[in-house]
Amino acid sequence: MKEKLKNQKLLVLGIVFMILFNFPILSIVNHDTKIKGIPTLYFYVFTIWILFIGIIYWSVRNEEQEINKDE
Amino acid sequence: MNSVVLILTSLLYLVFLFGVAYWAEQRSAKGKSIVNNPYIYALSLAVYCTAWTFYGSVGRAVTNGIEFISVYIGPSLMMPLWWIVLRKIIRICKVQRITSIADFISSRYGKNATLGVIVTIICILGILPYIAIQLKAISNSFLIVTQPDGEINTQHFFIGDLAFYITIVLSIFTIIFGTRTIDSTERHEGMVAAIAAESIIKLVSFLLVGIFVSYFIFDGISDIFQKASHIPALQKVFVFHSEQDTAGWFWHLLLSMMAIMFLPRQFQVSVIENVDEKHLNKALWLFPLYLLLINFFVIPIAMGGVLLFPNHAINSDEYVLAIPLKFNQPFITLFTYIGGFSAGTSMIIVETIALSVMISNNLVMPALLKSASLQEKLAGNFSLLVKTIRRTSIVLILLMAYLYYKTIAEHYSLVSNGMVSFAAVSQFGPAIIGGIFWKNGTQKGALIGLLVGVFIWFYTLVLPSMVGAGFFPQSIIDQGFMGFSALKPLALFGLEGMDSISHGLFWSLLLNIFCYVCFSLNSYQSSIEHNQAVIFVDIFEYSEQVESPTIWRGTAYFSDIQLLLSNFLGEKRAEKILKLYAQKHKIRLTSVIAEPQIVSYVEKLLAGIVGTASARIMISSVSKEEKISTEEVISILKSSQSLLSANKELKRKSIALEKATTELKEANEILQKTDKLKDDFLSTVAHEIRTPLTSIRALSEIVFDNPEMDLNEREHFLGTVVKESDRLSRLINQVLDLEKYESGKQKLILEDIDIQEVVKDSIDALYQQAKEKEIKVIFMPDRFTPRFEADKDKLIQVVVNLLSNAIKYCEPQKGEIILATHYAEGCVYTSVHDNGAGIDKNFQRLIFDKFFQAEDQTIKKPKGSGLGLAISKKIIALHNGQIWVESQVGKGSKFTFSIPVV
Amino acid sequence: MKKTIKVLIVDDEPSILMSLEFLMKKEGYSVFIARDGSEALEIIEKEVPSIILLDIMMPHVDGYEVCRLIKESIRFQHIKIVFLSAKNKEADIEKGYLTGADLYVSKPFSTRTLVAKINTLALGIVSN
Repeated sequence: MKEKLKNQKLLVLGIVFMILFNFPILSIVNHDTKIKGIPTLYFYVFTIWILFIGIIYWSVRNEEQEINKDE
Repeated sequence: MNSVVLILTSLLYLVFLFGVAYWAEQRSAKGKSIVNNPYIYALSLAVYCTAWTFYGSVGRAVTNGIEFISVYIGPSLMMPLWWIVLRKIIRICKVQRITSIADFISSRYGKNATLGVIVTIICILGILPYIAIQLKAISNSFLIVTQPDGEINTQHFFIGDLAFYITIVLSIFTIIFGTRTIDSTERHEGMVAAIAAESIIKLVSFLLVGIFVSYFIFDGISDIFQKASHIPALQKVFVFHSEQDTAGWFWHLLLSMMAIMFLPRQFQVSVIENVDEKHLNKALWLFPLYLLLINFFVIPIAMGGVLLFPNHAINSDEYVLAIPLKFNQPFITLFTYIGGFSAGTSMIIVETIALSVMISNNLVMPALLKSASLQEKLAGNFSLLVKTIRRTSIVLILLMAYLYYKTIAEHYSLVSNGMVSFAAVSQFGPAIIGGIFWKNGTQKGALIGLLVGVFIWFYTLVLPSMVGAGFFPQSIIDQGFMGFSALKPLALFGLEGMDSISHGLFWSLLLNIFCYVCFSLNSYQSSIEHNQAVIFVDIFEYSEQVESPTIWRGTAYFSDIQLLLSNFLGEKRAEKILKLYAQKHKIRLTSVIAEPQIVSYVEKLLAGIVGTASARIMISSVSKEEKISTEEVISILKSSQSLLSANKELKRKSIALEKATTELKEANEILQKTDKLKDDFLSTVAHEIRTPLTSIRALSEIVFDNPEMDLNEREHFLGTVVKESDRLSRLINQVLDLEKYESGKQKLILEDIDIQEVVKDSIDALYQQAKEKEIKVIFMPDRFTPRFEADKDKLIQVVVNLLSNAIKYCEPQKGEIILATHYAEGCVYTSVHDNGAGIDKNFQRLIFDKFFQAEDQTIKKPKGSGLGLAISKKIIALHNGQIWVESQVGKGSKFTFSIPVV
Repeated sequence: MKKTIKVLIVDDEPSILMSLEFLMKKEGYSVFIARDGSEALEIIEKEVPSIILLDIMMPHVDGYEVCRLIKESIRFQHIKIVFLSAKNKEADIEKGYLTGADLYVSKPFSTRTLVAKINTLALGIVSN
């Protein structure tokens, strides 16, 4: 049961960020402006990337803690 | 920089790597594996980052901006799906002892040797350019550092060419790494440790250059962008421009998502070298983090490079080294060189080892083993044979890569060569993903899909590069094959406007999937294929229960089987392994004919060493296999499956049964207890009835037998008889009453009542009794008590019972009973307080049980039938109320009941 | 003759006491009455009756206990004990005899039979 839930959680995570990392979402930030001196597109890609890693870390870490608790 | 210093440094570095590997292997031998660690696992995955990342990304960023990063975002996006897909692949490989991607596909589609051969060839073809560019990058970096100003001369072949020596050194090094031992799991702990170390080194060195460029040469990253925005060529790449860019981004994501799974070296480190599935948990976020970090400074370095070398004096692929050189930073230069060297070597080592395993297990061994006479000759020397094949193939692969580099790769950048390799391995996608999720995928489908895909890949991606190198006429590209414009390699079927990689990937993958699905649907699986398909798709169901269902029928001499295994593992080890297995599965090893289970097990062990297809051939060479019809196998499989599910069901049922048994036991205990209670109740009732009965009988007999007795006495006796008869009928009524309450038959007749009336009526009923004992009865009504719905007669019964008890326990004359009503918080409280004997604390709760003494014979009941309070409690409970007593021995008791008023 | 035979009746039910007292007195025994075990023990100590009609279920000290105490003491063990009880299961009766009773009579009882049994017991005492 837990296993299935984890699969689904990760699948949804993958799909959501696949959308965030693709067109047409990317076209929203695809213009010649800068955020803190960095081109908006570049800034967006790296920010979302960091966010993505953070969320995976968070969801997997929760999982591990639960497993530890179970033990 | 002095080339001798550089050569020495490079060699020292290789020795260091070997030291790391050796150390890891020693640790592993002692049982303290360092590779059994999620961090090492995640770092080893970073073998994905090659010289292409280290040098090529910067070059790509100069011309295409952020587009290069799609190749790293793709794998990151793949990570969450890894948990679903890769974990399954890992499990399958462990259960089936699969050691390479070729083995995986061949095993899934019926242990088919042809498929193994095709996959191996695709890998070699696809990966050679990739290895070639590593060689190119290593030798170029060497030349840049040693002769920064000189024209790089790469026209020489072999002797006199640096790249050739690099190739030789790396071949030796890889041989040492990869083929020292032959193990049935094909894991190389030393190699993994070395790769992890290399991953750290390349990351640190790249970050070092990045920080140096961004913060020491320029004034931070935004400063670089600020300056870059003045250069039109750079400012242009701050955004995506055309449809081509945006479509390309998507295809590159897809491409890299497949590459991270199917590149032979990735398959090697992520699947074959995986020690524990749980390591995936950490790798899921650590690996994307690594990718992010190593790419963080790519754009600043690229922009910085353009700003520092304005006239395209330096190839942008070389900025990483050229910049520290320009600023005279020998340490950073050297360290960066080592970083690039490590990126290149790690890729070469792992990729070559993975390929050599495929070549020996899927290409050479099956061919050799086909000949029975050859097999006989080789008997006893298989282990050495396998090693020799692998060593030879390592050398051959690297030499071929060298040749490719010298003839073709020269003309292309690092990235575009790498992309072509990615596209090649992407062709495995349909067969593998389909194979682990779709049972109906067939050998024919996989075979045709792969062949078509690879053909399109070759036609659209490789052919044009060969045209560039002069192997084919330019006319093919311009006018199409034989002049058919629909067959232009870069605009197949007239599809234009995509970059060549996206274009090639789209057509090859599309047709690959199409053929795989169509031919799978229109062909039948052989028995062994179906067997494998079921195991692969349902691996999580099988792997926890059985090794794999045995569908092998035939006879093999045990001694033959043992000999076969001894050839690879040595006699002692083979014997030991077989004994262990027999012990574990309770099989006898003494029989002359080997048990089918043993045969399957040995086949799997051999598969770990020489690949599934070869193992199959070897096993069939020593056994007489009966031809099993497809229907038979399917029925065996089905029965084993249904047995499995029946087993599961049985297990589930037995658990349920166990549960039911305990429940039944408990119920039985309760029943026995209630039975005993009932028994006790009955005997108590009998006793209670016998007591008045005894008096009645004795007294009546006396009166009957003694007609001459005194009249007063006679009257007294008869009066007692009447009283006792009363008691008897009251008791019988109570018992019947209680039975009604307990069985739930007693219903309340609800009416609107006033509690004061209830109390008054009860006092009236007992007034005479109290008066006789000269006991004071006081009533203190609460006038604010609301009227409520209740059964008046039943409540009167309760109050009368309480009051009569109070009268009974009060001493004559001194007795005083206070009845009170009170309304608070939605409840009407009624209490009867006497100053009689009081009730021992031990009894206070028991008195509400019927004949409470029943449970404990040593506790003697106070006077009374013992049923009144039990009935009162039931009546109050029917009104959703509560009844309790507060009492102290010698100071009287206070009985209270509360009824909620809705 | 019977005057010298002392009979102690122990029961917590007044109506039963009443009837037994009448019956015994009519037969000419010297009758004593106790309403529970402890009262009974006091009277035994003082009067040393020859026969005791003993109820079992009584408050404080029950019939079994009284019987046991009597049969354990050298001074009183000759006293004939007749259990009169509403407990009439086999097990109860057996327990009664095991405790040392000379006779076990279930309630409700026939007055004539009871009187006859007591008289037989009394005869035995007299002949000894």
